[in-house]
Amino acid sequence: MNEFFDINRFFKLVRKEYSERLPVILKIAVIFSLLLIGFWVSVIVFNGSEVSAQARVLYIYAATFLSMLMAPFNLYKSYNHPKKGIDYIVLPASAMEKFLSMLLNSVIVLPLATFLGVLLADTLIATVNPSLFEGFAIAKLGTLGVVAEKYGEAVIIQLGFIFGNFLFIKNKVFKTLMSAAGLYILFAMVIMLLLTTVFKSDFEALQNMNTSIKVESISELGNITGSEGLTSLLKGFYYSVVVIFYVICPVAFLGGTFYKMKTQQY
Amino acid sequence: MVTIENLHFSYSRHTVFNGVTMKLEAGKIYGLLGQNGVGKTTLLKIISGLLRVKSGSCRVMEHNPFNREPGFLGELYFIPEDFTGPDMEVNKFARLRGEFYPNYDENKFSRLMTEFEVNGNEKFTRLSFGQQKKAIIAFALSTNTKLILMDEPSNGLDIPSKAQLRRVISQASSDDTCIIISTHQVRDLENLIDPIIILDKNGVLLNATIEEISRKLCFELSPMPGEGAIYNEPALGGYIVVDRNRSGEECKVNIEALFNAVLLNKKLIKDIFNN
Repeated sequence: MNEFFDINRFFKLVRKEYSERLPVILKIAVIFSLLLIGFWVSVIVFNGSEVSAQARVLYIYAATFLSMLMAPFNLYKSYNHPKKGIDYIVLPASAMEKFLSMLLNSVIVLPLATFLGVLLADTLIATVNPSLFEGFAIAKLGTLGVVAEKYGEAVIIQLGFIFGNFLFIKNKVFKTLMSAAGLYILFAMVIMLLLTTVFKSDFEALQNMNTSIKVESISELGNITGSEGLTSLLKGFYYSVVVIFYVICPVAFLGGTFYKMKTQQY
Repeated sequence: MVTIENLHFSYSRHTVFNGVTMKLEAGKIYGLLGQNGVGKTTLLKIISGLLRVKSGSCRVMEHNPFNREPGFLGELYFIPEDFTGPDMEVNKFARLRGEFYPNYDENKFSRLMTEFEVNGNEKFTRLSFGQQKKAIIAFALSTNTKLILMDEPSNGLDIPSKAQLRRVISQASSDDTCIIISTHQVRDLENLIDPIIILDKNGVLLNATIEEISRKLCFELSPMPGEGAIYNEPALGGYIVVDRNRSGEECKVNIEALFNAVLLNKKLIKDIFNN
């Protein structure tokens, strides 16, 4: 028997996990769908104006993203609990199998259930009451590439929340949010420190330039051209952010979560 | 089955074990006794891989338990003292988890649940603490693992259930299995646990079979305290006297009196059993 990963045991675990956690997954999906239905009812009751499909797409993405952040705290909050966590940790499956099944439920199953649930509710309402819910949100979701990019970025943030869930034993949500805020402030301070010390001359040149720079998204920094010093500074900043956000953060969150799962003591 | 050598363990600054050494064999039901806080639960958690030893070693079925390898976990079941089941039917809980244990016997589970008079179609959350405990004990015994660790299994059980518990545990014991029961309620498990392990803060005070204990110590009910006896305890009708067994005849071991005698005469008891 492979002690690190066994595909049959993994499927057994996925089946067990899915069977046990399905009620919670459905509950979250239903809550977000009911919120949309409640909004529709309130628009009818208060004679509100029609709601564009674009605005509802925004809600669908927001609901899916929120469900992703909630997933670890709802599905796996007991994993490192000194008493409640014992049942799961002594289950004869490897840490890798438990880790992957946890990711499967948190990163794919719950967000997908929420996304489909809200989308279904929107489609039903738009069919029943097209005058208020104009158009179908499903038609305005964007290209697969855009959806995949947004989902990928959401997953990276979610991985941080998953790590927080395994790192903290009590007040997990609060401590995770505080840690995220702390990391953000730390990152901003490091950037400021670099700009005012290491890249001081470039920064001063930038301040004295009679040029306005409009950046719609961080990825546009990678396309910047012009002044040699300024370009290299901004590109350097851009690539640093990309490497930190897309490589270091996910690797650290995933590695940290796996390490905590493997070495958690009870 | 379990080999512990020079085990050291502490919770931050609080030392629990300081050089504990012991060997536990298959085919026995060990009774793990000790005062509050001496580390009975900690020892069970170390053996089941829930805690990591600071120094020394603990080998269980040739595994380092803290690696928590599936092959190891499939041969071990740990029942915590305050088990609270999830919000799901007991039968479903057993079916989903049973698949992971190579020797799980569903018929045995049904039989034990019937014997314990627990309805497996009920959710854990709708059962009393005692019923939940009986359900998890039934499941643990049905996994047919080689090593079963029970932390205070009789806590929360009513009087008939304690008798049922003794019966099912004795039936579950075989030459291949080792059961370790940590308990304060020695009377609940008298006539079941053998050998007896008594722990204190400095390690193992006693690790001996009932036969060995009865060969070396004598337990009597006497109208007067025994002069020069190891331990005297007032009781209905006189005193329970624990003394060296000088006659060579075996006598019934009173585990509660033994426990108190050992705690009050640590060095003497060690001398008697080490010789």
